[in-house]
Amino acid sequence: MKIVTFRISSELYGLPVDTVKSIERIQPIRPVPMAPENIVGIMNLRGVVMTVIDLRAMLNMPQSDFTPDTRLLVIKDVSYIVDEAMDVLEADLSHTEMQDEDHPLVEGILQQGDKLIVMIKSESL
Amino acid sequence: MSKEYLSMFIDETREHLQAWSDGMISMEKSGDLTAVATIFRAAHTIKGMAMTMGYKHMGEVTHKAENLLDDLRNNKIKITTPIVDALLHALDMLEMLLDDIESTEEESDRNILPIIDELKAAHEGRDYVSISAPSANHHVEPAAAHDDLPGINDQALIHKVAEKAMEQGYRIYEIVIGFSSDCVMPLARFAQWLQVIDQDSLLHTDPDATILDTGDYSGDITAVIASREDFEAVGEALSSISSEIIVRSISEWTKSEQNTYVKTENLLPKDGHITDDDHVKRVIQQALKQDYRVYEVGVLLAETCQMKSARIFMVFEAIGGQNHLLFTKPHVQLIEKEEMNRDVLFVIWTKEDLTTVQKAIQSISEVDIVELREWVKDGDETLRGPNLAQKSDQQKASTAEKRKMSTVRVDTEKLDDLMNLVSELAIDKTRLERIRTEVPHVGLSETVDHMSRLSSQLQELIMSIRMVPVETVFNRFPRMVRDTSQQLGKEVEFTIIGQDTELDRTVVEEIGDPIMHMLRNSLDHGIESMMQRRASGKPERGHIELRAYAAGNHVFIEVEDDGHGINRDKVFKKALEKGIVSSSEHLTDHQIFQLMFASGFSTADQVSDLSGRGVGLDVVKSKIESLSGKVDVFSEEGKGTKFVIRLPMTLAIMDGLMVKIGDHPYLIPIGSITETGVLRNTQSVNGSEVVIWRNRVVPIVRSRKIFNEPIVSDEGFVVFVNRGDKVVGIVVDELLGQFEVVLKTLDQRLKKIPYFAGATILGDGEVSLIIDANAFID
Repeated sequence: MKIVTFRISSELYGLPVDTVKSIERIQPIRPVPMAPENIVGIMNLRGVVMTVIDLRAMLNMPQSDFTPDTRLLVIKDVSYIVDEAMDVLEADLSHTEMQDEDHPLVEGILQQGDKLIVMIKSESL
Repeated sequence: MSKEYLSMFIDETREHLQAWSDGMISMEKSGDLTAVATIFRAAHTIKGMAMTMGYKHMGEVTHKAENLLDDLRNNKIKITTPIVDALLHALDMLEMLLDDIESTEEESDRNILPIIDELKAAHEGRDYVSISAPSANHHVEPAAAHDDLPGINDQALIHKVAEKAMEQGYRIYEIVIGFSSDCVMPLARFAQWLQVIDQDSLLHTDPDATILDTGDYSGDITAVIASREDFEAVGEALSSISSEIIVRSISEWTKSEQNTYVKTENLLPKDGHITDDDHVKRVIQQALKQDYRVYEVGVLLAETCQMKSARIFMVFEAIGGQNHLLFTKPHVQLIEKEEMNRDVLFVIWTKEDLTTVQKAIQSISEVDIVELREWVKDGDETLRGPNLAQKSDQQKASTAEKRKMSTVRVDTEKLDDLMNLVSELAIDKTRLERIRTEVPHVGLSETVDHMSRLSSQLQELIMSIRMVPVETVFNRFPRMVRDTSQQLGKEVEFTIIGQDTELDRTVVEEIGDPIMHMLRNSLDHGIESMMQRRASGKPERGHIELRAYAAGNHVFIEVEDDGHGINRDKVFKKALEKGIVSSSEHLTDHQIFQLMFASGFSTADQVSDLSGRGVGLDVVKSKIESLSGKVDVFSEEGKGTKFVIRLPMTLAIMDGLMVKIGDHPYLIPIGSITETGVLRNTQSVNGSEVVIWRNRVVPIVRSRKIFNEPIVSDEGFVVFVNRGDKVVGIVVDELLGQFEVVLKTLDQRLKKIPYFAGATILGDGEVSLIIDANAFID
């Protein structure tokens, strides 16, 4: 199965390729007062008003500024901010290893060559 | 009858039932005999089709109704309320029977006896007493159902009748009709046919009525009819009924010297070649004498043509109709059966000139004219003119140009998508307009101007496509008002005004129930009983008016009655009991009336059949508000009550005032804004900030505070928003101007925040939140 890999901080994450509609550059985001904490705001993606969610916040990581590498993953009509979009890889998901201390968003760890990829549970997004 | 015709039967019957239903309302209102005729026709056709399909119950009910209607239209009996009721009940029964047939494909054994009895009673002018002890397995005797069809079989008798008719100036025609091979329900078609020629004028059929009534016959039928019309008119009437009926021959009876009846030869053209001594030529001569123009036309169908006969009949219709045909090759019956090649030759008479005929044929797709001649009179000779069919490339192009259907059905989702795309275009347009100011270039400037115009036209067009008249929902109310008022024993006149008013289709779909509710409310609580009305010097008949009209960007729908109005004190007392208000509150009349929209409110002294069902005006209110509308009530005691619904003409586009709060723009819908002003002279009352505005103490809300922005200065503007009489001032940093925007909904996660109604994309591509003023008022 093909997976999209992306980077948040120094860690590598992965999602099945068919769950990601598109990968976009960062756009101006309009904050929404009183919105839940992990919602950054809303933005205009080709005429559609789309909610933008900070994946960092969801993974309990500290906030950081946007860089030229910052990307948005569009999943189910919502955009998720990641630090950098990496590759699309062919991976065998049956090798994903579960870990006890896993975050509810994390499916498990997948070893791909010398890289460790944290697989995200797409259904929890 | 095979099941494959079932859906056809169901569709057609539904149509006729609808015509019946529509006719009922106008009949009752105006006593209009044309409406009676319409219902009669509908009933007659339903009877024919039902009998053919073997649905005895339907047949029986329509048959009885038809008898009644027949006497009505012949003025033998007068329209009375029992008759109208009986016909409506029959209609309901037929609808139920049809529903059953639709779901089970079989006729159910519903008990139709009460309906039959009611129709009979109404017909005979008796009062119908409902007897509710029916046997479920009631059998209908089909044979008895047809005592009214004329069936004179004695030849001498027919002649006698014919003679009488001729003495009175009638002409007697003998007509042979057949059915096309694809005719699904020949006898239903025959019933339709009989209707057109008017049953009373039918002297004889062969085979006779008893055989035809079995519904099991599809051969040719010979009918003898009496008519005052000449051959042409009869022919025209007969062939216009259905393409599934083929008039094989028409001949007229004439009296010979021996006082016997002889048939003239068939007046219809025969198949064959046009020769000098052919009767076709004589007919042509005849037509020319009468100053008709006669054309000989040869057409060639495109190879790809799928429905050859349909195309050819379109050609005939375009020129003058089938009954103007003098000759066809191949024979018209073969054309009907699609037994032909791609070319067809025909001679037709018409009053039209050559170019009109040519254009008419060219407007039909997949048809090419290869020959077009006009027959002309030259002295005593009748001659064929030269072939006028010119085949230029231009003509080819115009024939190839296909005539499209005048309407198409489109998925509303596609309309929404289109709407989105156009609003994106509008955004790009604004961007371009900005670029133009930076890059001076004449060409660019002109193009941008043009594009701006086009994009606003596009937007208007799409909005108009989404609009539908409110008529589609208003249609069902006359019947409902009639039934309800009868149920309540009240007499009510119901008028509808402005049913052409258009609204966005999503809104139209939703307003049916709220309006129904308000109408019921007026009928139940508004209009008094007849006795009460008499006592208060009002006309016994109450009046309810349903109005729709557009004003600005809104559509107003009003339900007004001339009933006893709303009792202010009663409403207030009730509201106190229900704990909706506290006794200390001082309310205006208008505010008190608004209390009726609070949930769980009902003031009727008696719980009638209609009210007391746990739903009330609060349902109306929440529904209308969900459509971004407002509902209001005005009343004068003793005079009447008026409900007013205000709806945005479209849900998608709204007008708003753009304001700045902190670093961000927000849009406040114009509809909820009363006034704007500069923030000054704030005072504190009980710890909350207020301003004096138009001699009123109005609370103000600091939007910065609510939106968690630091309050840095005391300067700003106030936007006064209202709901009913309640006014609140929202303090904002700046007023940016009025904008028309396309409303976009927010994600589920953000919908929970009460302060926002949605979002929109601005001209510069940035998004802005749309404020829901109601949240500030509450």
